[in-house]
Amino acid sequence: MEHLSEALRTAVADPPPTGINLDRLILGERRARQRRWFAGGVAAVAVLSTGVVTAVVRAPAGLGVGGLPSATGTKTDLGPPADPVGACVAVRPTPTGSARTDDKPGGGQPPESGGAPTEPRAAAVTRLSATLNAAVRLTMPNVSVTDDIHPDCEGIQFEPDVYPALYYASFEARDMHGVGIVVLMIHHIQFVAMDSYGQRETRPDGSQVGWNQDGSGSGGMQSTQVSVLRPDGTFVTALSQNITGANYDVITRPTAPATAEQLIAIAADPGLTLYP
Amino acid sequence: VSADEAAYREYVTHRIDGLRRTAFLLCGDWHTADDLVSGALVKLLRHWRRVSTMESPDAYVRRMLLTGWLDERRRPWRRERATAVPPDVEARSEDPTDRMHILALLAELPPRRRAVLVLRYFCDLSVVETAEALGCTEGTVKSQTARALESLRARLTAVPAMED
Repeated sequence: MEHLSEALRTAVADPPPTGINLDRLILGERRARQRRWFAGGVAAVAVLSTGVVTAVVRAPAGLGVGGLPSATGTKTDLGPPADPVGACVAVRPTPTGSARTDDKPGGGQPPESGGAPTEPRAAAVTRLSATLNAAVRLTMPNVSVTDDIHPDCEGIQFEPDVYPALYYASFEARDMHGVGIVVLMIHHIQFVAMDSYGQRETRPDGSQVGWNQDGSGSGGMQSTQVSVLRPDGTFVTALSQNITGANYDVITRPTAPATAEQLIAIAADPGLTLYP
Repeated sequence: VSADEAAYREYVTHRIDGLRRTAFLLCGDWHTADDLVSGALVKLLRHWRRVSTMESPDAYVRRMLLTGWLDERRRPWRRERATAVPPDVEARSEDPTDRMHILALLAELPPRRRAVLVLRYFCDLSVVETAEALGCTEGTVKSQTARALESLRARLTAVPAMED
């Protein structure tokens, strides 16, 4: 065996200079990470920017539209931050997740009393993640998912943003047609114009739902975007595209992995609320 | 530069040479080897905070490298195609110490058998470590090793019989 080991080492004794540029590699990954959030960000910002003009925001002192810090205010302490990126939380579905039929305020502070959600962020991450996993399993039964932010965690996990009461999740969905990406953002807002959506409806519970399906992207990119604004002020935006989180330039399947109906079913899940 | 990034840079600087050599033995081409190592390093960077706390980050990187290569082999444009005229191939040297000779022999092996040989006889991994890197059982590693060496023996008398 020594002979084989020696032969293998001889075969790679004098390699040519490497073409790997570590600086470029790190910079590229940094940009890729930014792009991953860009897709979800665009969806939310597009809607929010429309709503800013007419928004009637009843955020607490120091918070602006959608819970983002205002120019002059100070942030409200919503409890300790959740686990850092990379730490997994339990994603077991909760019995009250998708099976809930109402939006009654529970442990959180309802918006009518004038505040942002008071649920600790770590608890919110665990609860929202469990609800999302249950909703995805129910709505997309033939799809396997991989969390794009926490690829080594079981199931999908929400990530708390630096801003209070803003959570996002991103996962790759794979079925027989290939792999694509789904991004969700949850935050709280009292009113937003849904005019930017081609199709809109108001549900019996008062939720406003808007959605777009766009197949005019460059290179065959298909995009499905949905927003749900609940009466309690929870605003859920979901985006599905036929690309992956790692590469936004390559089309990975003919259509987006989730249809508008599936995204609406997920985003409108009563458990995805900031006021449990 | 954050502490994480500095640690990542230091780790990569010390390991990149070995990773390139391993990748080259797997794929037989330095450009592809650099691509494979780049892919593994990007994944490592993405999960550095967690991987750096592991007992053996090397095992993680090695596995990323192998997975990347095996995935690459499965891509449609990598599959063998029938052609009307046999393609020109480089004449194989008969000198067993010739580097082209050993590389040509490796290239004739199926991917996983080649990986087993590279991991065991170039990276000096044990059967257990090889099984972990390839995500298979120890029995599979042993059988793949035996078959790979058998294939080599059929072509190269200089390779001694496998020691059980």
